[in-house]
Amino acid sequence: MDLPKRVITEVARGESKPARLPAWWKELQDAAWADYERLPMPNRKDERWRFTDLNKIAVNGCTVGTPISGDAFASLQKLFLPGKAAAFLFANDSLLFSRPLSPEARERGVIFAPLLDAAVGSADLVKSYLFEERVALGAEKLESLHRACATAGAFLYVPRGIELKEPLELSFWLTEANAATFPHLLVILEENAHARLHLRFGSTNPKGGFACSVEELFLGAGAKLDLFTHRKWAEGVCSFDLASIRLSRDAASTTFQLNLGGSYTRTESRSRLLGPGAQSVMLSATLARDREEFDQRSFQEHAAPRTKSDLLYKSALYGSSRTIFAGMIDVDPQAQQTDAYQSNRNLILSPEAEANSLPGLEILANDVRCTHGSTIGQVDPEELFYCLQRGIPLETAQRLFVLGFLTDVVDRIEDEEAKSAMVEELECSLR
Amino acid sequence: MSLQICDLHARIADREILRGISLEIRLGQTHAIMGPNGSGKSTLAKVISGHPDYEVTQGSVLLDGVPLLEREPDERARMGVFLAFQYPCEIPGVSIANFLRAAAQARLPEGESLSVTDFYQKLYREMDALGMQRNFSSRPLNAGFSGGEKKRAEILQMAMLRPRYGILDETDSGLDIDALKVVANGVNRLRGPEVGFLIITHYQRLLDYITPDFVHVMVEGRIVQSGGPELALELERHGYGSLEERYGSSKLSPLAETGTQG
Ligand SMILES: Nc1ncnc2c1ncn2[C@@H]1O[C@H](COP(=O)(O)OP(=O)(O)OP(=O)(O)O)[C@@H](O)[C@H]1O
Ligand SMILES: [Mg+2]
Repeated sequence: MDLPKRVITEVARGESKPARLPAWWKELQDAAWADYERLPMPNRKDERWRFTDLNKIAVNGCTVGTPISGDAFASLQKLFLPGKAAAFLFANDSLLFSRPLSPEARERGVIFAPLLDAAVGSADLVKSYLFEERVALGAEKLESLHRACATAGAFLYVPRGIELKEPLELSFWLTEANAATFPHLLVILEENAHARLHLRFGSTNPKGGFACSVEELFLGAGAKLDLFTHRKWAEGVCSFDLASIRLSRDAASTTFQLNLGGSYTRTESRSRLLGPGAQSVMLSATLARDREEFDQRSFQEHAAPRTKSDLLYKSALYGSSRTIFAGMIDVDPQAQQTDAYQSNRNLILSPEAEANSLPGLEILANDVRCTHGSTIGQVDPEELFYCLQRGIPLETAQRLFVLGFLTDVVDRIEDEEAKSAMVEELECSLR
Repeated sequence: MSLQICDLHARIADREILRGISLEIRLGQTHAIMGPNGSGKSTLAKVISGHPDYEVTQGSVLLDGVPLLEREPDERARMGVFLAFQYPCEIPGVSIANFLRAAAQARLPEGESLSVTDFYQKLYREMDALGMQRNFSSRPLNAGFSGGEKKRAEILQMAMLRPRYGILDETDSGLDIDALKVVANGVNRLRGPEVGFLIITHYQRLLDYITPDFVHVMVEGRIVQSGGPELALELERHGYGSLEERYGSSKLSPLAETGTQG
C-alpha cells in the first residue's frame, strides 16, 4: 500500500500552474510535502483506522492535470450550462466553467472566486486562513498530501451582516481512471453573514481515480452556513474528504452529505464549537453498494458554554458493502450546558454487508445533556411481509424501506429546495 | 371461480395450528369465520397469503384453479389475494401514497408506467368515501395511526388494489360505531359478482352491516360448524362453550382421526 510519491510530486511542482502560485503558497506546499513524507501510512495499530480495509486505500498512478477528453468536456458542459447559481466547475483540478456572483452580491463585498485567483486578489485574507485548520482524525498524512498538491477550489468571503440569498455551487469531477483531484474550499463568513453552498463530487468516467478534498470553514459570531455535499464517485475511486468548521459565538452550521459510489470513501468531519451558543448540525445519508466502503469519522468539539451539536449519520448497505462510523463528542470543562447528540443508524439489506459503529463521548463538564447511540438492523420481516402482501416485489419493497430510512435524514434539511433535490437524487440512484 | 382451501394443515414452531381446513369461497360470496381466541383464524389468513413463518404440512389452496401455495407472497397478492391485517404494522418513512403507488405499479404489465394523475384521482375518491382526510396520504403508513385509523387504511388499500379475494382479519376490532359503519360500507361497495370475501370477526355487530352468505365456526384449527347468517346470532347468544366442549380437545373431537397430531 504505497502512495505514489513520484507522480504526486510532479503534480505538486508540476508545469501547469507554478507560474500562478505565490511564493508563500509554494513554501506551504514544500513544508506539507515534508510532513507527508515524514508521517506514517495509516496502519492497523492506529485506533483511528480501526475496521478500515487498508487494502482499499490506493492512489497508484493517479495524477492531477490529466487532460480532459472532448466527450468529458461536452458532458460536463451540458451539466453546467442549465444552472443559475454562481458556480465553479473543476475537472481533474482544471477550472472548466464558471458563473459569476450576481452584481448585487459583488457590490456588497462578497467574494466567490477560484482559490488561485483569490490568493492574488485577496492575498492577505487567503494567506491568513488557507491550510490553517487540521481535521486530524486519522488522515494527517493525506491532509498533508492535500496541502502539498491542492490548487483547485474556491474561496468564499461574506462580509459582516450580509445574508447571501442565492445558493452557490462548486463541483469537482474526475474524468479519467488515472486522474487525481485535490479540491479545496475555504469559507470565511464574517459576523452575522449567511451563505448556502452546494458541493458536488463526481466522475464522468466509469471507473477509477483518486480524490482528497479539504474544507476549511470559518464562521464569525452569529454567522450561518449550510453546506450540502453530494458525492457520487465512479466505481474504484478512492477518496478522502476532510472538513473542519470553526464556529464563533452564536454561529450555526448545517452540513449534509449524500454519499454514493466510489470504492473507498473516508470522511473526517470536525465541528469546533468555540463560542458560546454556537450550533452545529451534522447530517449524512449513505447508500453503500457492491464492495463499496464508507469510512466516516466525526468530532463534535464543545469548547464553550451553551453550545449545541446534533449528528445523525445513516447508512443503507447492499451487497458486500461496508460502513464504519466512529464519532466523538468532546466536552471541555468550561462548556457547561452543552447539548450534544450523536446518532448512527445502519440498515443492512444483505447478509454479506457489514456495518461497524463506534460512538463515543468524553465529557469533562458536569451540567450537560449528551446522548449517543447506534443501531445496526435489518428490515423487519413483518414489515416486509406487509409490503409483499400488497403485491410489492421484494426489491421494490427494499427500495421503499431504504428511501424511507434515508429520507429521515434528508427531512432534517430546512432548505426546501435543497431537500427536494436530495430526495430526487436518492430516488434516482435507487431506481 | 373460487378460492378453494382443501384439507389445509399448517404449523408454526412445531405446533400444529391448522388441522384440516376445507373451505371454498366463490366469487360473489361472502363468508364469515368466527371462533375463540387462538383457534387459528389469523393463521389461516396468513397461510393463504404466504407468511414465511408458517409451514404447510398438508393440503392445498387453489385460486381460480391455480395452486397458490408454491407462489411467493407478492405473487399471490398480484393474483388477487388481499389480507386486511388484524394488526397492521407500521412502515415508518413510507407514505401511504408512495406505498400504494408501488403496489399499483407492480400490477401493471412490464414497461407500462402508472399515470400519476389517475392514481391520485382514484386515491382521493376512495379516501373521501372512507371519510379520510386527503393529507393523510402523505403520512408514513400506519406510523402513529390510531387503531381505527389503521383499520380504515387497510380498507383504503383494499379499495385501491381491488382484489379478487379479500380476507379481513378482525377489521372491526378497535372501531367506534361510526367508523364501523364507514368501514362496512367500504366493504359493501366492493362486493359484487367479481369478488369473494372472507371475514374474520368476533362480533355479530359487523355482520349486521356486512351480511355474510355463510358463517363458519373455527375451533382448535378446524371448522366445526357451518351455516347461514343465523349461526352468528346463535353464537352471540350461547358463546363457544358448547362447541369447545365438543371439539375443543383434538382427542375428543370426532374429526380427530383425520388431523395430523402435532
Ligand atoms: N410464532 C408463534 N409461535 C408459537 N405459536 C404461535 C405463533 N403464532 C401464533 N401461535 C399460536 O397459534 C395459535 C393460533 O393463533 P391465531 O393468531 O391464528 O389465533 P386467532 O384465532 O386469530 O385468535 P384471535 O381471535 O385472538 O385473533 C395461538 O395459540 C397462538 O398462540
Ligand atoms: Mg386473530
